[in-house]
This record gives sequence, C-alpha cells and structure tokens, in this order.
Amino acid sequence: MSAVYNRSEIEELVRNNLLQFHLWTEVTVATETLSWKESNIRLLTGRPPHKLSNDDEDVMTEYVLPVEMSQYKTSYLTLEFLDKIFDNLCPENTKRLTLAIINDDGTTVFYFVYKGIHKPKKN
Amino acid sequence: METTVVEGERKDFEPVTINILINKDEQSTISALVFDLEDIKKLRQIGICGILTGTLPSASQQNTFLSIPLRLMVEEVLWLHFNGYCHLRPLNGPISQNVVDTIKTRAEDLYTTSIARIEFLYELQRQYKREEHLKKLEKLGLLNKNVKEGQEDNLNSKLLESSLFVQTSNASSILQDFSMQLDDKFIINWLISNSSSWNNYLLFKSLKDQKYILAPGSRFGGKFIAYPGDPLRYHSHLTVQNAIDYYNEPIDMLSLIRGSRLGTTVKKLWVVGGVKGDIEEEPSTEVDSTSKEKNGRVSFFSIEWAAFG
Repeated sequence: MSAVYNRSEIEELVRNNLLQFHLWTEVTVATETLSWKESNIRLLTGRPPHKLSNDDEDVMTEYVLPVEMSQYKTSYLTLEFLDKIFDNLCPENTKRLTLAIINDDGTTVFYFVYKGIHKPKKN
Repeated sequence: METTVVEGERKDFEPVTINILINKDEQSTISALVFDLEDIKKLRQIGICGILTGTLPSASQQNTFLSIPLRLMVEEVLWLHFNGYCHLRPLNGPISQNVVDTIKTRAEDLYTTSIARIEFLYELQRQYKREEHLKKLEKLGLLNKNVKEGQEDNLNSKLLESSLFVQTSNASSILQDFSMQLDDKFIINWLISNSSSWNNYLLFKSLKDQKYILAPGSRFGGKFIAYPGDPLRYHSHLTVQNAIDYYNEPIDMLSLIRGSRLGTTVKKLWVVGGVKGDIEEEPSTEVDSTSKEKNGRVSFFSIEWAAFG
C-alpha cells in the first residue's frame, strides 16, 4: 500500500499552505525527527499573523504536525504516537500541537491538540 | 463484599440502594434504577446525576419534566460500588411480565394489604384533622360539650371523609418480590461485560477524579459529556469518546474532524482517551481502582478546530 504523498511532500504542502494561504511567517521544518512506522516524523514551526485563540496572550510559535487524512489506509495516528510527539518533538511546556490534516483533493484543515483535558476557548 | 471508601471522601455516607434490573433472557437490557428521593439527593451531592426517567402512564408523551426512578449509567454504578457508596439490589426481569404474574397470583393478598394501608393512612389523617378542628374551636371559644365528647354531627364527618387524600408512594411495594440473591461481584462483572468496557470505566474514573460530572454523551456524538460542575449550573466542556487502544487503534480522522467541528458550535472539546497497558484489565476480587498508578495510565487528548483552514 503506497501513501499518496511521502513525508517531505506533505511537509512542503503544509508549509506552502501556511505561508501562502494563511500568511504565516517563519515557517520552517524542524530538525528533530521521530522514527515512527517506517517514517521519519518532523514538525513544522511558524508564527501566525495574529493570535489563534482568545486564551493566548500574544502570537506564539506554533508546532504543526502534518498528517494525511489516510481514510483508506491504516493510519499511524495513535494515542501513543501523539504522546511521543509531545515528549520528543515539542519543547517542554508546549501549550498545543496543531494537526494539519491533508486530503488528496487539495484540502488542508487545521485542528488543535491539547495533551490531557483542556477547557474550550473563550469566544 | 467489602467496600473501600476513598480517602478524603465522606465516610459518614449512608450507602444508597441501586436496583439492577437483570433480564436473563435478553441480556442486553440493563437498568440501574434509584427510587428513593433522598438517595437521589445524596448521589447528586457526590456528582452522580443520572437521568430521571419516570413519567405517568396517562402522560407518557411528555418527556421534559421526568421524575423518579433515576437511571444511572453503568460507569456510575461501578464507581459508586467501588467507592462504597451503594448497595446493589438485583431485580429479576422482565419486570412488566413479572408484575402481571404477581398481580395474577397474589391479587387478593395485594388487595387486602393495600386496603389496610390506605385505611391506616386515612385513620392518621382523621385523627390529625379532628385534633386541628378542636384546637380551632377552642381558640374561637366555640367548644361545647357535645363536640368535646366526640359527638360530631353527620355533616362534619362527611366533610372530613371527603378531605382525606390517598398518598402514592414513590417505590412500588411489590418491587421487593423480584429481588434475587446474587453476589455483588457477579453483578459487577455482568454489568461490565454486557454494557461497557473496563477501559471506559477507567476514563470515567479519571475524569471523576478531576472533578468532572459525567452524563451520557450520545446527543453530542460521544460516550460521555463532561460538566465542570453541576449540570444545572454549567454547560458541558467535553465530549468524551469511547476508550481506544492506546497502542494499536488509530484515531479516525473523519471522526476527529466531525467531532471537533460539532464541538466548535456547541463549545465543547472533542476528547479521545485510552489506557496504557498491554492487556485490558478486568476487575478482580480486590479491585483497587483508587490507586494513583492506574490514574496515571489514562492518556487523554483534547481536540478542537483551529478556527482557520
């Protein structure tokens, strides 16, 4: 079973999306890698043009994990994987991880992942 | 069975009675019901809210103002049991058929008992009302000899009779007839294997330890919804999904997107959790579900839409 994209293609796709479509700045592919199910997982870091949640003090560096929707193939996004990402790829006290889910139709959607139980954001 | 009381919890808590309706032929039907209003109040104080389900046969369509019995989730029953907050009373189901049978076989007996009960209640009311009446007359200075000796006229006693009321008790008195002798351990195992999983209970327990109050979550597409306090005072914050396997079960992306997107409009986070550990733990005789180690083994992630993209 072959993936639609390989890891570096996914990273590039999300990076372009963040830079060109959502006007983020300083978007770079992080150097730390995590070996997981025959892939080397890397995060993207970047700064959004405005703060992303009313609970944030100010604009902060966001950590983005690009993943494929992988609707039809065995996904690797388990709870263990998320724990490993938080433990190995994020600096300590990272508030949240942003999941960038890409589909093969060109859609990219973004979801926040908080470790543990978190309160809904204020509107 | 020995009960363990959580450290720091109220030790003076008088255990409540939970009726567990067991249908041996159709094992899927499980109801954990509480009939006593005082018990329901006590449960609410410790953050167990359940769902009120009682209605009147004549108004079965209305479902906004329901009354006792209170129906509990299986996880709530397990939590109450492991913390020594309840007695379990297994009832032999199906109840409706059993009620019909009981009424057929014990009709005369039931009739005489209920007549006696109503007569007894009437007599109490008569006494009370006569005394009140005499006091009133005395106060008004209208007390004469006839009244004192209890020679009331017919009219007065007719009035008295028509003012008596029938008190309906909350719990059926024949419910007792259906209780069975079953070991608590058997009931608990039966509850877990038929309608939940031990891992779901561990998620429930972990959230309960974090002072959340949980309710059934199907209306928001989850296993539970979690309130930060009493549901009458707070909106719920979380939609908690069924426990997934920590190591081998991937989070379904479409479910994640569906759940988190729905969460955006109803101000809830979509929560997915699992239990670290190779095998699913079954409760043994000495279930020490209060140990801190076990709590540390539950892993949650809260997910919400990033509000862009």
